[in-house]
Amino acid sequence: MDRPAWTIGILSFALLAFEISLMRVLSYVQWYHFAYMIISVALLGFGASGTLLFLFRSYFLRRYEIAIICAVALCTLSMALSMTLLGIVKFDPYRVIWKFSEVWSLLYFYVVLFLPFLFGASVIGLTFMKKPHQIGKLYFANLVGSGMGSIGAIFLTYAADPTTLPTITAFICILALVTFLLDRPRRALVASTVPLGVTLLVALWKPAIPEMSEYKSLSKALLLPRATIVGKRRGPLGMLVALDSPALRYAPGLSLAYTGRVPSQLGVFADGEWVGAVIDLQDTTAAEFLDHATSALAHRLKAEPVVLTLGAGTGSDVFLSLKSGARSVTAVEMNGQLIELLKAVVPDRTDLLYERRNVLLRVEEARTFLSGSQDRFDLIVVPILEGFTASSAGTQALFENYLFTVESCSEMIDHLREDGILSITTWMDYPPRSSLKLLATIAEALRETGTDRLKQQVAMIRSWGTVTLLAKRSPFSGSEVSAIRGFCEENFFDLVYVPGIRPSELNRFHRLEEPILENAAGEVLSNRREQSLREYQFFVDPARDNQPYFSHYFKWESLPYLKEVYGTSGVPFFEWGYVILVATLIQLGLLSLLLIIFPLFFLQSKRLEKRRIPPTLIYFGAIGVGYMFVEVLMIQKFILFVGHPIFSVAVVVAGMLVFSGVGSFFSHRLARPKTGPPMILAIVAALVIGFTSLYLYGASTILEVFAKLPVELRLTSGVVLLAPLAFVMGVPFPLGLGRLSGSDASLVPWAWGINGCASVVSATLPTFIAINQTFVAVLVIAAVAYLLAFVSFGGLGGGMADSSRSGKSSSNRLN
Amino acid sequence: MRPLISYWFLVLIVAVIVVPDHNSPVTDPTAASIIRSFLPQQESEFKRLRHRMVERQIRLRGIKDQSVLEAMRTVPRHQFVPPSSISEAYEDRPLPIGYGQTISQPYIVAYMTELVQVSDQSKALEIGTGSGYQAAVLAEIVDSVFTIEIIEPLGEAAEGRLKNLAYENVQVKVADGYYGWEEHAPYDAIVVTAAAEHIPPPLIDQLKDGGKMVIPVGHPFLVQTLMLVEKHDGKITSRSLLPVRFVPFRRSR
Repeated sequence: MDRPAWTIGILSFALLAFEISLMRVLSYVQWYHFAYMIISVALLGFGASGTLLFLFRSYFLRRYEIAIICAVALCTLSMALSMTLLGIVKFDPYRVIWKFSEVWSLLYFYVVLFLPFLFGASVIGLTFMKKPHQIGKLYFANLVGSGMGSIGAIFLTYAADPTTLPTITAFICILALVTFLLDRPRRALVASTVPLGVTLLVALWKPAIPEMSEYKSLSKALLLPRATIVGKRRGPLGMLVALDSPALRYAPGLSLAYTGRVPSQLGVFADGEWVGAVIDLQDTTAAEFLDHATSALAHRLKAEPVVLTLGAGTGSDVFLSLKSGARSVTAVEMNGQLIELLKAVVPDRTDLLYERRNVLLRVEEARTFLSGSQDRFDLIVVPILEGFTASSAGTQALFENYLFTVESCSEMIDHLREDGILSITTWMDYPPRSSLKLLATIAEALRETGTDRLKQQVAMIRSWGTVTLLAKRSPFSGSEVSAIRGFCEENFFDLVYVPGIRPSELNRFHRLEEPILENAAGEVLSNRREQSLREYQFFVDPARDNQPYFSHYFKWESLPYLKEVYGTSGVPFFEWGYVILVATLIQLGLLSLLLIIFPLFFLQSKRLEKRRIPPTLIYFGAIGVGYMFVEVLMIQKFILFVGHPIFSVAVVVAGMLVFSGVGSFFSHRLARPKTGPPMILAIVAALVIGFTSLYLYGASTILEVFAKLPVELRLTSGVVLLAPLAFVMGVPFPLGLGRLSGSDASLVPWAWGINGCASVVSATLPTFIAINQTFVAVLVIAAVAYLLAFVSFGGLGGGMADSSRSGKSSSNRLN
Repeated sequence: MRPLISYWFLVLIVAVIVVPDHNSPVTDPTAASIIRSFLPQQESEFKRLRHRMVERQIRLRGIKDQSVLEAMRTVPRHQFVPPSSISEAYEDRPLPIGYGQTISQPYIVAYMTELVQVSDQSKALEIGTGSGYQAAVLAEIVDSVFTIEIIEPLGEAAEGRLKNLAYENVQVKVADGYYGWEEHAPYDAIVVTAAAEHIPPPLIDQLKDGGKMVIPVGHPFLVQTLMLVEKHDGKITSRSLLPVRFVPFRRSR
């Protein structure tokens, strides 16, 4: 490969790594969904670079070398300074709802983060424009560099704090600059002096870094008396912090009948949000309070059980099981960093727990464990869902939750012994959403076993703060139901539902103005459920693997009502994630128009082949949409297959980019025909439909096979599964660009911009579609996009900027 | 080229307008600890806003207790908000006061005060002083208020503010609210102003027989429900009260 290709490869590495680093930084100082909103706008820098080059094409082409040097240098500077620039302005996302002036801070964030992408993408676009005959090779470098960057960034998150990462990526940019000027060391030295100096200065001096939002749990906990951070672990799942303070206590939904003490505990936070508490096991009375929460119910019904805890976290529930006499506990926890933190930093507290003889720790994703395990348990416990706020670096994977789907609950039920109990605890929310959706999901899983005794197989209780749901394969016995009644009576907890519940038993201890949850629970268990779920103000239909958004409760039909009751500014607090998603889409749509369509109106004087505009727009838009839809869909499904969101991102993003790069490299050989849409596009469309349907409908089979494999083989098989799809998906872009540069070269950067914008918008859109529909709808749109590309290809022109032609003649034509 | 230049000029202007607003959320409670003085006409304007707030946001929403309405009409809320939020002091929403804390929406303060049913004989305990506004409202009605704040700068600022506003029946302590304030117990009313995931047993212990305790549940910017705990003959009962009436099924509307 020659130098421009290397430059592009290294720069693409830096840009992707920078994007993922930003996701980490913003998830840490703010929240994932705000990070998502800000970065998606910043990524429009790719689209804007296309427009910039399109408008000033000849100007930049005449000064190719100096333009590249300046753009790489500016990209480096803007990356290196990004954290400082974000650090000097405070942004409070909640205030945006009420105070317009906060919008300026948000815009400032956008601009600061937009610049590195604008400059970086300009380098890539300008090189494509200058060397159209090498497009396959250059695009290959671009994709492979990006793919490696996405993996590199994940490794970097282990090595450095989130706010240091952008400085590292800035150094990588300097490497790209030096590579570009490798044959002229003197010029390389001069050109890299300023960027290197500034980056070094920022790295050593750290003038300012973005501060964590004051509303995050960690920010608040740090204000507690004598709060000390006793341990930290970095990683792609988030920055984990263990904090000690005598005033830190945690006892969710504790019974009002409890008069004992609640000991101070060690708190663990991921990306500044609460993960769980660590109880001091040497303090013999410390855990007494655990018996007085709704989550202790199942232990009252089972003596000496064999327990499985899914999402064991900091171990409170594991400890409760041991304390209640469990024979053994299998503790499944996905976040290995968390376990390491517990072991290394608080050895005297938790080491005892996870290393006890009758505790088997499995660092694994819960679904993968369930699919791979043949064991059966007396008790399966799912502790209260705290929700890791950390994202799976740089993607939209956050919102999905494969633990609380009908399929997952069915697997849990399958792993119960004949008389076993499944116990899931959640927060009591007002109005009821998560508790009701949980019941609906479990009820559906039980119905799928073909039972006709559903109403005998579930029980649900609530305190003022938490709800615990029990489910069995067999009916609850009379003595079990009495034990539930007794436990509630003792702790002032209320029955939401037990077999044979009487109206007089409802709403006795913690009284609600109306027993909304109890009434709705009755409806969910009845035959009227479909109508009732439809009429409920929130979306509490059972979650499924093809629509795994358990925490999505918003219904557009209820918006007028919610606005009436809670006020316009109250609504977002029910559904921040969804509100942000919609806001992001609107912003992206408007900005894409501004960047792509609007500039065309200023170019009337320019001689453009107008008939090329619509096919260019459709073709490059469609392949951008198609590519990203498939990629996002694959990331979502692969979480299940490879068993970890981070592995999923690594395998899918890197695998897709690298194999698409290879596809791009061979694109010219694959598409010789000079006229008509080549077969390859039809093959792409067919393969997209075939593969994605396979993953969607064959998911459970693939999952079963994968779960039995060791993790390395799982990852390798994942890449092998993706390779053919990714390979053919890499072909359309260089193919179209080659065709376009043969017919109307001035449109090349515009096409690059369209593709960039379409990719950014469609990184967000699939989540929105899947939340409202299912993954199947996403698949259909991806297939339609490739069909559109197939149809519009002919409009791009007849000729090809062929590699057989001399580079010189092509460049001349471009100039 | 001209239209081209004008397009980029436009983009440039937009970019230049995007200047960071350095002054926006300045929430330094120490700056607010000294009582700000306003001109008489400003004070009368605040009074007008306050009366309007009580009428529109509180009385119309169903708060009937005259002593609560009168207290809300009296306490100068604008003295309890950060300087940058003075213009929003009487608006129908919570405001940030720094340290991740808020001064609650006026209606919520009134509702919580009404729920604990206090009189001029009562002794009240507040957990989470924050700005000191809720303590001041209680102080207008009850005999004595004891309030505890865990965050030192907040507690100190509130103490100074309440003192300067001459609330002599309020005592502020910087401490961990978990233990309550044993030496003045039992209390007729306990108001917990921060949403909590558990209710400390010592607080229930320090509640007088027949006393009431109120706790908000939900996001700091949107109180979804208020929890009222009552003690009768040593027996504890609790209730959830929704600040707004929610109808779960659309058919039943």
